[in-house]
Amino acid sequence: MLARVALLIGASALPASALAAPAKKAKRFLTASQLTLLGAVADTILPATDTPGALAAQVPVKLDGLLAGWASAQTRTKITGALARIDAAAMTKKNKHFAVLPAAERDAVLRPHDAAALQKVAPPPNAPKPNLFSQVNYVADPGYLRIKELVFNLYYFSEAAMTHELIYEHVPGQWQPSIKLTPQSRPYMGTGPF
Amino acid sequence: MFDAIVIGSGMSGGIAAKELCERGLKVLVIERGRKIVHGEDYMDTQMPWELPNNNMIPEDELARDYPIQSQCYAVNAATKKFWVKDSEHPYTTPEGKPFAWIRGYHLGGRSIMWGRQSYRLSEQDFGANAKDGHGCDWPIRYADLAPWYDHIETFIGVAGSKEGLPQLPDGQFLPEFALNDGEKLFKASVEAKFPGRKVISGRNANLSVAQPHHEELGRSSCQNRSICERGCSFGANHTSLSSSLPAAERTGNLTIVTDAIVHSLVQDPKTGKITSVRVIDAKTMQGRTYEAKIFFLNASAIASAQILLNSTSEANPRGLCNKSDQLGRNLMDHLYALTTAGIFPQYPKDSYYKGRRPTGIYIPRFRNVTEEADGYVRGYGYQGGVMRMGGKPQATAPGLGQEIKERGRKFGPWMAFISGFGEMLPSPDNRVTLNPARKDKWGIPLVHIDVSLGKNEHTMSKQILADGKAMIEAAGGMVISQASEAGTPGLGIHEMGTARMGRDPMTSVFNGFNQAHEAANLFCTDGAVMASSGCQNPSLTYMALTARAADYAAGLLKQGML
Repeated sequence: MLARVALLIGASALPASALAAPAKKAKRFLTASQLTLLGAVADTILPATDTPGALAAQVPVKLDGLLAGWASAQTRTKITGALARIDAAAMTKKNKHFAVLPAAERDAVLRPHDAAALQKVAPPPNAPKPNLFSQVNYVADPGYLRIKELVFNLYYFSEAAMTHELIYEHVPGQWQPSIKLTPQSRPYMGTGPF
Repeated sequence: MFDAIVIGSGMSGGIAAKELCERGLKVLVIERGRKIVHGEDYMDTQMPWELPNNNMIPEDELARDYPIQSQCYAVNAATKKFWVKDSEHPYTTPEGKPFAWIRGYHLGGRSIMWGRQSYRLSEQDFGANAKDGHGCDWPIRYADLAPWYDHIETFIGVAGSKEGLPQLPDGQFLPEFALNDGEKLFKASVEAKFPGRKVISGRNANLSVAQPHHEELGRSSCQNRSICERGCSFGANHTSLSSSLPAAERTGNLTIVTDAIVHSLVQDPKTGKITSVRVIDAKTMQGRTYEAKIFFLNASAIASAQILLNSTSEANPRGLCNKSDQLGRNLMDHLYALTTAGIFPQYPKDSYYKGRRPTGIYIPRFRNVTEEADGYVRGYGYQGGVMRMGGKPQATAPGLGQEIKERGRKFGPWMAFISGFGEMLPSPDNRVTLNPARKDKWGIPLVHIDVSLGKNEHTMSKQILADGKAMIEAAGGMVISQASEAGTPGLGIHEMGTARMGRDPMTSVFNGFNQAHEAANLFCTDGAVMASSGCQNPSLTYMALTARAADYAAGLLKQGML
């Protein structure tokens, strides 16, 4: 029960330093201030509500771990560039760094930035043709889309989200081809393409 | 000296080992890759959040080591160990004619990660070459293989429904994985609007209900996790490691060597028989030979051709068993990735399903069966599924905060996708040769793969997409996405045809019992021997051919004829 309560605590109830709370021994790539900024962005994209948010799911530190151990130099540059543009938007609109803004103001800054960044653009002439398993989306700020995708993936495949937000059963056992939905039903998560 | 040597431990090699061991032969299985252990080497017990890098392979590593393998849908961090590094196992293709050779070098081969769809070829398929003149006639007909399909289906466990379709014969099935409510509606509409077409549960080698003979091998019923390609600790899908090799092992007749790369076969010029196989130790680079009375070549279509092409001698300067000049030719795959997806807003909003079923729907071939084709021969089937949308939202849609979570919680409409698998014709120009200039690090010439789709395939691809759209729309759906052309050849991972069976030694490499025309104690029962490709997923046929050939070879050996 305590664990569940802790997961449900929103970012507003946490000290600012918690936004960047690093996990033990995790590989790091971002500077402390970049990680704090990423924490604020992730918390704005997926805040704690009636279920845990990105912070309880340790999305920022895991994403930093991906930048250290998974991302190519090109992806790192794309992502840090997109983070810097979010901070620049906060400086322009609020004259403050994004991470120090209260949650409502962060939302007010990020919302129009998100909509503009995700504006679809025409694919380059040599773009590979998409198929069912590799959809490539062309948007105004690909670095921002990358951040949002990684935040979604890290969140929805986290223990916090898979036990509190949607439902995941690692060993379902039976295949039940027809069940009735109720207002409380939530989609089951899978990990593969099917 | 062994009674039999089986080269390769994958889908067909595992069955060859089992069938030969069970007939009392002392069998050596030679595997080029490393040993892996059932259960121990799988990553199927890890929870999603425990997988490294959120189940992604580091981008630089993926680009450097897996540029071809990563085109396969099943490649991720949890399965990485099962795919070859392209950087370590190169091959060549002509400029502008890519071929994606998807491979796994380890005990059990690609049987660990296979898609498990299991369909019989039909009388129509075995007669196709003779009827329209492409390739050479199959030396067997459906009746020759039917009892061996029975035998294999019973052993491996295939879930499916009996449908009475001549183009897709029924078999010895476990209970099928039932269609969900969306699929039932889709089935009803398609079958009503297009008489002769059927929508059925995909027949798959997963134990819907394990039988005692499966449980004896340590296998149990499918738990509906749909992470089969990671290796299944329940042994619920048939693989060499869960099923055929343990069956071979319990006879006490099996020996396995791993990390042993077959370089070539040695033929006695006087008797024409194969006397030994030359291998190179993958780790020490040292060469050695193994001797046996009979040899089964099960290295997979391209690799088996490579071994024969590399088995040159004074008498056979262009490769062993290649008087016909058909060795390496007629490489086929299936037309793949011709997918149409659509949504069905009118399908029931209060219906769902539970569990992740390891199969979907199948639409058996109807072109050139019950309906004419638009300017091509042969035909295609579709694999797919109908599912509820919902769950992890799309990051591409603008929005933040609670609205994102609400999107993920909401059940969307039903979505169907159907993906055509089309028959590719055998063409002598689609071929595997040895690269005269480049060798791998073990000194074996690289294979050069030269394949392109022909007019028949391109014309068929158009109708696969047109029919896909028509069926989605006939069922009241709205097409939301459609492929524009077939995927790169090879991505169907159904490569076959490079050492075909036939009656005439001047036009084929192996006879009707998979015995080499030019070497009586050499048998090949992997995809290489396929005279045509059908449109059905081929592993079941490879296994049935293997069991039949093993029975024949063991009989000849017993009679002292080999």
